[in-house]
Amino acid sequence: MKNIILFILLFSISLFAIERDEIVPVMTKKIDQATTILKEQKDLPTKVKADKIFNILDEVFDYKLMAKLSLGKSNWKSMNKEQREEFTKKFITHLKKSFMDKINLYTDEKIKILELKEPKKNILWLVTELMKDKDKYEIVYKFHKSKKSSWKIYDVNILGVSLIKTYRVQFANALKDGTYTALLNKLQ
Amino acid sequence: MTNKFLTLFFIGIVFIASSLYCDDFEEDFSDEFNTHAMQESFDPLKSYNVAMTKFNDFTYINIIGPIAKGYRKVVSKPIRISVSNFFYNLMAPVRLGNNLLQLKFTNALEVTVSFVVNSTYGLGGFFDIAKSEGGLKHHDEDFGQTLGYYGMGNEIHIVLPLFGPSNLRDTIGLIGDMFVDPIYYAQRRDFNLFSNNGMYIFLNTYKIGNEYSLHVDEYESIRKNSIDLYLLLKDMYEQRRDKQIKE
Repeated sequence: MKNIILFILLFSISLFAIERDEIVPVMTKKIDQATTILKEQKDLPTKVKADKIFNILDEVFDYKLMAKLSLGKSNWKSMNKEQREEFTKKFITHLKKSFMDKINLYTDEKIKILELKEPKKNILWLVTELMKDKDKYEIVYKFHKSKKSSWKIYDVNILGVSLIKTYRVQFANALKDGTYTALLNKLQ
Repeated sequence: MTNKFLTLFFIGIVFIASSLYCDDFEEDFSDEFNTHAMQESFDPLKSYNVAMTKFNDFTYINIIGPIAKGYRKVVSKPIRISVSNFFYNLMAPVRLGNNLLQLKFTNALEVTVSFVVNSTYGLGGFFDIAKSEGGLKHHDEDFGQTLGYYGMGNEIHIVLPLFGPSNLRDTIGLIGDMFVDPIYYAQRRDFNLFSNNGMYIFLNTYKIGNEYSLHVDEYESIRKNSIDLYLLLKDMYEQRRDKQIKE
């Protein structure tokens, strides 16, 4: 009996959970670890570097929610379960590949955490600043807390441009003009 | 006992399953993303825009890109940054005018001080010491942002040749800013010493080419991971401009 309750508890609570107060210290540490890899292990192949960084960051990103939000409510609902799963898988791969391509753009930028804002309930924005050459770029990591998971990132805003919004526009258009299969092919 | 066992087990499974498969398009996101999709639908110049995006992309990848990369190999980064600073400093009248038009007087003052400091101690604007030493902020404002500040929307998206994404408001803005852009006055005129437009064309080309040499990899990475390049650039541009206008 006890075992079963334990089993259920273990499965309903994810192993990694950050509380609100931990967002700043946890993210400071993760960003620091990631930039150290980029700086000190420059000569490693891109794929190896990327995998190391994903190891650090994966647990704070809610990739599944990102996939859903990118597709939008009506498109998501019109898909069946297999299609959703396939889409989510391809979306995550695309997202990671796109991140990997950007890794080599990194030279010696510094990232500074500025503040943690609460625009509304269950949403927190971690405002950071990336300093590159002579410019400063504002990057906002948007966190969401749901009933089933702790604070996780659902969107990243770079200079006011939301990653999810850019995907959403492209997906909506692809599904308006074409089929679901065509969209998946474009995501390759 | 076994019955209780099973019931509990089933409740557990149902609970887990429901928490895994429920649609959590909660209230939390509806206004953040839904309004956005609606704004995107109106695009009267779409077929022209798509064609111009293809033209621009081709030109940047096959002509401007290789030149910028060659230039990047020959001219070191600090020099290219200094050149970029020089052109940026030269455009101070645009920033000053538009900060004033938007009644941002403290910002206008900061722009003026930066211009004076950089033009003198920054050796004609090649060094942005107002920012690096004095901590003064840039306050970029252009006439497109001024029009936005007074309520003009971004309804009609227009892709300009070589300049890339823009809209009706910002195109009018570009024309407005042209008159306070010092380079504009390097064209041949009765009151100046230029005998042809060579200098004007050279300065503009060099300004754009130098800037692109600092960002060529970024563009190539963006286009590589696009699903629909036109829509991606359009959306990035409009989101960025909306944010700039709000600032």
